[in-house]
Amino acid sequence: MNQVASIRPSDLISLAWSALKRNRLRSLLTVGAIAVGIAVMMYLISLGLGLERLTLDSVAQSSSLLSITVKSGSDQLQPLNQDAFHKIKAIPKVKEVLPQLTLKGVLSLDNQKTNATIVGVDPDYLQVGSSTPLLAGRYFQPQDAQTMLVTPGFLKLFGLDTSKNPLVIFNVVIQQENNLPDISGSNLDSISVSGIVNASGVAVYMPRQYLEQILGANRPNYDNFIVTVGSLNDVQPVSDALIANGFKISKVIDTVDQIEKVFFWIRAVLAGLGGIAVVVATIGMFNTLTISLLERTREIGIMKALGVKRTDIRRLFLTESVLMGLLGGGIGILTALFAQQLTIFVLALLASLVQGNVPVLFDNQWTLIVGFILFAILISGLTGIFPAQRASRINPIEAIRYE
Amino acid sequence: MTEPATANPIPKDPIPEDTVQATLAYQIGNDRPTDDPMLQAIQEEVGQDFAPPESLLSTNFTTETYQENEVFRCINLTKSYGHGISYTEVIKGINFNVLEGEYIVIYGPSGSGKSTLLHLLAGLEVPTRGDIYVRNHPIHRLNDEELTYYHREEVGLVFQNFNLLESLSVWENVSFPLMLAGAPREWRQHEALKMLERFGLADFATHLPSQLSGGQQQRVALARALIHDPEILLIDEPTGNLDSHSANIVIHEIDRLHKQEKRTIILVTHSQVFLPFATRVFYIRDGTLLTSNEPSRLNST
Ligand SMILES: Nc1ncnc2c1ncn2[C@@H]1O[C@H](COP(=O)(O)OP(=O)(O)O)[C@@H](O)[C@H]1O
Ligand SMILES: [Mg+2]
Repeated sequence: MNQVASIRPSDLISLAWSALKRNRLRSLLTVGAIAVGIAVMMYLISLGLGLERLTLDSVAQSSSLLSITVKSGSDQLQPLNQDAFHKIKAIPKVKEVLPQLTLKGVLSLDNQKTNATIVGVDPDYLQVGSSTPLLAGRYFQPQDAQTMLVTPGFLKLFGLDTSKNPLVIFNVVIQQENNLPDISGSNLDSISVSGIVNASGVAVYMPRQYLEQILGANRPNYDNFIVTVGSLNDVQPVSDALIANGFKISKVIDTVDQIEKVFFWIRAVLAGLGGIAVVVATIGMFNTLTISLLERTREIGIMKALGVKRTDIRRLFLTESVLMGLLGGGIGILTALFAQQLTIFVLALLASLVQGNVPVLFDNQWTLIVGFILFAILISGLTGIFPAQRASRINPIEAIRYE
Repeated sequence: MTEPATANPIPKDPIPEDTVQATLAYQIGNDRPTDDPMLQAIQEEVGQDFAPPESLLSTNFTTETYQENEVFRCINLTKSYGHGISYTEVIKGINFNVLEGEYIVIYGPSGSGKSTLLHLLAGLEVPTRGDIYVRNHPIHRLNDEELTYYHREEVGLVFQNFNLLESLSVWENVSFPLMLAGAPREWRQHEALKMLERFGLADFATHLPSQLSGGQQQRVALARALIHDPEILLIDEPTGNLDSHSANIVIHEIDRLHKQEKRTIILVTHSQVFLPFATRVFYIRDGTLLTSNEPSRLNST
């Protein structure tokens, strides 16, 4: 006898749909359980991803990943002086060496005065090396002289607006520090503000070359170097070379790695919590399918007696469970998106009380959404296999004879 | 609706079987004279205690070899359930054959093994011993695909309790066998409506089975058994749960399927009303068959 045809997929879906509709309450409970599981998981994972992205954004701009900081310190074998500068410059693959000079000073405007850190850097140090963004005004040029960038914290001490370049001129006195050459009384007249940079503390940034020129032989050792490289692959060899030369270093990339590591675990814990919800939902679904099977042995028996193939019975049950999984997944994703909006709305309400703003907390990449839909299909499919197999083995006669 | 709304509401307590039988046998059963010797013989036997005389006990109604016009052939067909202490032989080594165009009524008391025998013929049960052939193919040795083909193409089944699919509408139930073969929905609907029309149920096409009376459900079951135009019909207690009016319609329709459409019918029942229509009657008791007539003698159609 020839190969017997199978039920069309569209008919299979409509059969499965009728069966789900017939046991409306049970189907709804199962779909609901899956939806809750997927929603919890999706909410938590997107929160984890969102938090990680926020943290990384604040730590690492892409350019700062290509920089290595050489730090000074009492245990530093090499003093960070001109020699060190040239030595580092000579290491292969090093693109730039950006020194930072750190001094103490007193800055005054009219009759107001404050102590502040005076940082001597090249503009590249701020722009490329440490990714210090500009809030207002402009960066200075390497050859500029009597100009500086200030922090919002510094401006606040003088009661100045932190949102625009104040266009004022300060009087600056560099002060002596312990175990540094005597530079007291170095007086820099009339330093104008060229812009405001987004950095913390009370500090001003001035062109390094100008400061070195003023200080002459009294110039202290550098506080640190930022060493930049051309590509991510160069970070490790250059770091190794620096360590080999006796320098102490730190890399943004390490911090990023650490953050990623931490967030991997945070995500794993969040996903685990969501996973528990999904496992509970899956057990519920398995239960539902099995009970449904027991209740429907008769129906399955009739179908078989009418000439439904075993494989079609199996396909029917799988279709039912995947249909429930898809519905649950879809509703779960929508629920998660809704819950996110609700969270953001509530936070925005709270934030408006304290005049803050709410960052984008959730990261809903479309791959995540597609992933969850596939996950729902996979879980429901797997859950359906065993009951489907059992259904296909039902002896039609026992099913028909006994009610 | 073909039934007037007032006629024959389903009685809470079904009309006693006997009165229904008596009325119906004379109402419809005028194809065969009531003084038919075979009918009388069996009716006598059925009497009170179902004990047939020794002379009627025979288990051999067949030839061992295949004939052209043979539909079924059972040889030493045996079915038992359970093991050890719970072992029961429900069908006890019976032999018979059924020829094309016959209307066989297998008549016997409840528990005598009628349904079991019908299920064996339908390929839904596997015999414990013996052979069972349809058109010379051994039913009990068909694989899943072949058996599926048999159910879909060759045989129409009407079960004892209608056995409609509760989650599907009436027309979907009727056209279910067509769906299995992958027929398009519109065509299925068309065919189902034609069939329902014939059974006076066109108005109920979109109802669920649970919204129908027993008689209507039985007709739906009959429509479903016929939708794929099978040559063979296997029918189990078609009037078992019906009121007399519904039973009447069903009895008549089955007779038409035999006389006009020349289908081969095997009907099992504990009700006498079908006896006058049969070409042959097998009396079954405790899994043993007996009959008083040869196919040649009674095969009047
Ligand atoms: N699966 C089974 N297991 C055990 N006994 C069964 C089974 N199916 C049927 N029987 C027994 O077989 C006998 C005949 O049943 P059945 O064929 O339904 O009789 P009928 O249809 O004539 O009323 C009954 O005694 C019944 O209990
Ligand atoms: Mg029975």
